[in-house]
Amino acid sequence: MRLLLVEDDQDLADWLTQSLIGCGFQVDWAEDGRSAEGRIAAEDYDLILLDLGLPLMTGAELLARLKAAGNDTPLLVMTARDSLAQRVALLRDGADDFMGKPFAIEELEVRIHALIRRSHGRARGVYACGPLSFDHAAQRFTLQGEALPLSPREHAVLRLLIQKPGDPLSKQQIIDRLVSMESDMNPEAVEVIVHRLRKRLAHAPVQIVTLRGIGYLLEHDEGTA
Amino acid sequence: MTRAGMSAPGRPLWRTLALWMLPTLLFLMIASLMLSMKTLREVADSAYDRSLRGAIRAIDLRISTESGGLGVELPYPLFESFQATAEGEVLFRVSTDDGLVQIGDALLPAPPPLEVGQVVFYDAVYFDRPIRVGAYMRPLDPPLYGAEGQNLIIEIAETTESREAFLRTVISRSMLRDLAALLAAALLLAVGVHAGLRPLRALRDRLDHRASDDLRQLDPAGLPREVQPLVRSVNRLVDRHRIQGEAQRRYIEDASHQLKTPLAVLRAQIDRGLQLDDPIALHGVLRAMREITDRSSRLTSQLLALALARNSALWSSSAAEEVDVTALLDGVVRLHLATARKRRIVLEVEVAPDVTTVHATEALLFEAVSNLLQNAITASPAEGVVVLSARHAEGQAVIEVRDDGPGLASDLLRRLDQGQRFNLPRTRRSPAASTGLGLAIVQEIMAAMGGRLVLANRPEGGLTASLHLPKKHAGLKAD
Repeated sequence: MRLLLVEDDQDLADWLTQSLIGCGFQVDWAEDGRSAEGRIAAEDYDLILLDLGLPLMTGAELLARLKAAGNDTPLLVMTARDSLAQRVALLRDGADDFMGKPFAIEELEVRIHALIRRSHGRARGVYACGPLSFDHAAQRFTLQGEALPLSPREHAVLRLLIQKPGDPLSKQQIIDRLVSMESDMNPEAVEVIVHRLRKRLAHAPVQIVTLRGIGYLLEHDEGTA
Repeated sequence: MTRAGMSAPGRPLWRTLALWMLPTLLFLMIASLMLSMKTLREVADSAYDRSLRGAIRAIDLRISTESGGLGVELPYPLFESFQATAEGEVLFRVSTDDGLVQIGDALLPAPPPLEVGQVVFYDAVYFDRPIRVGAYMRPLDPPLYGAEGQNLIIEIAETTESREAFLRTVISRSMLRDLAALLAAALLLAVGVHAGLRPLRALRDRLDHRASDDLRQLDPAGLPREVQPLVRSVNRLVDRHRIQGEAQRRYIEDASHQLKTPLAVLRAQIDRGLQLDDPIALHGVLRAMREITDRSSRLTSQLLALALARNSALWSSSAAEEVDVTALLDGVVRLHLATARKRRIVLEVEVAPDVTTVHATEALLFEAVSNLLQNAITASPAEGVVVLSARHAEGQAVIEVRDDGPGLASDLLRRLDQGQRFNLPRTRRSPAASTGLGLAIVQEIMAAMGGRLVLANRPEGGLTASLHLPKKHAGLKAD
């Protein structure tokens, strides 16, 4: 798997590259935003590791340009900036994940793998959460290797949840996204659908967690896997 | 401290005073001048008129009708002396009111209607020269030429050049005097203001010559009473700066202690590692180093957050805005969701329907709520529930974070209740996962926003941390 590391501090870039190579990645290094943009245009990377405080073109600018150009290579931002509101803004602006410096290499590795897996799955039209997976082309859910029969409404809701693993969706968001399909959708109906989905997933290590006031979250229950 | 865009310097004090005083003075002087001109003219007229009256009487006494006609023996000596004093020409006319007889200057203008036995004075024009005329009418007894009820009119006139000249002299003298008084007043004003402001200039020099770190109080002695409130305000400002400066100094001392210690530990670990040949022992040292690095990085970001909060205490009000509470809490939850779910902690949000927005600096409020949530997640047992809520209490917007962890020691809560601030711990008391700075940051942020942090143990176990946002800023939904 090929990564592009965009980092202006040579020491950090050196050690990080060594560690990532040690983890089995192939790593290219770009020292500033402009050369990074050139390399991204010329070559195909599985993931970009982006520092924010870069010379010539800041990381935020590069991020904005890549997203504007329709580049969907997963992008993990690393920064020493500590404003939390800024992190939220970065994720909103299209970063796929975020790590504050300094970070543990193991965690970086886990997140890189997750992002690449998600992006490859998305490219093939396959979304997964633990033993549950969804094939976009076939419009079919599979649970622990077996086809999961679902009603159209259950299918629609579960599809929304699996496309954004780890990210909670509120009832209103679910209604808004299904409104073209279902005209009589209301919060109670969503509750009923989620209740039925829970029954269908009951014995699998994947569950729909309710976070009151926030929304529903599809989660891989690793502890009992 | 100078700030660009500050208003231009105000008008000088002396000019303000002059603008108030001088027009008024000028008006009063012109009015008084006009009044005194009128009085002077009256005085001059009455003085000059008296000699006219004397001349009329003298002529009257010399009128005879014995010859059957009207005869006047002119009082030439009187006329001469009169003419000499008046420095002009003296004219006269003796006539009957029916116009039968006219002696003297027939071209004198006709008199106004006269009363019998009264001397009347009036101004007139004679061959383009202003004249003052005295006219007197009395019955002629016996009447001439058998006419009946005939009256005799005596008119004496003199040219008024000398009278005007006299008036001009008097008035110009009086104008000069007034003008001199006005100039003196302006001068006194300028000198007075200059002298009055001297203590202020001395104060300015004292302030200008101060060393930048000299934050002693100003001595108000010798300053005008009007300036005392200003001096007191300046002193309060200086005090606030001094307190802030001291806090800053303490903070830097504490922070450098906190930051250098882990570096020293790391250095010691590296030195120890270099002495070791055993790879297993070396591995142990590296693991220990990683722990120290983790701790120190948490500490650094919290120290920075604390410094940021303290800094914004100085500038906060400018950045305050209406913050959507639901969106803010949602953002905070999403940031910490992954950490919470690792231990199956459930995060919940409750926003009361009457709370929509709060007036705050969004980044700071986010930081504060985020710190509280992080603490709550750390304190919460696995599979616990952490609730973020927003509601109104006594008109204040309150954002609350509840957990079912062990809560805080009651003596710490009591001290906080008495207003004690969290500070940088010189010795680490908190568990390894915490730097103990989170609550200090929250306190700083609340102080910056004019709100407060209230911590209380819940009766059913766990801690409630509430952010009380300032009352006037609470955004209530309009009913």
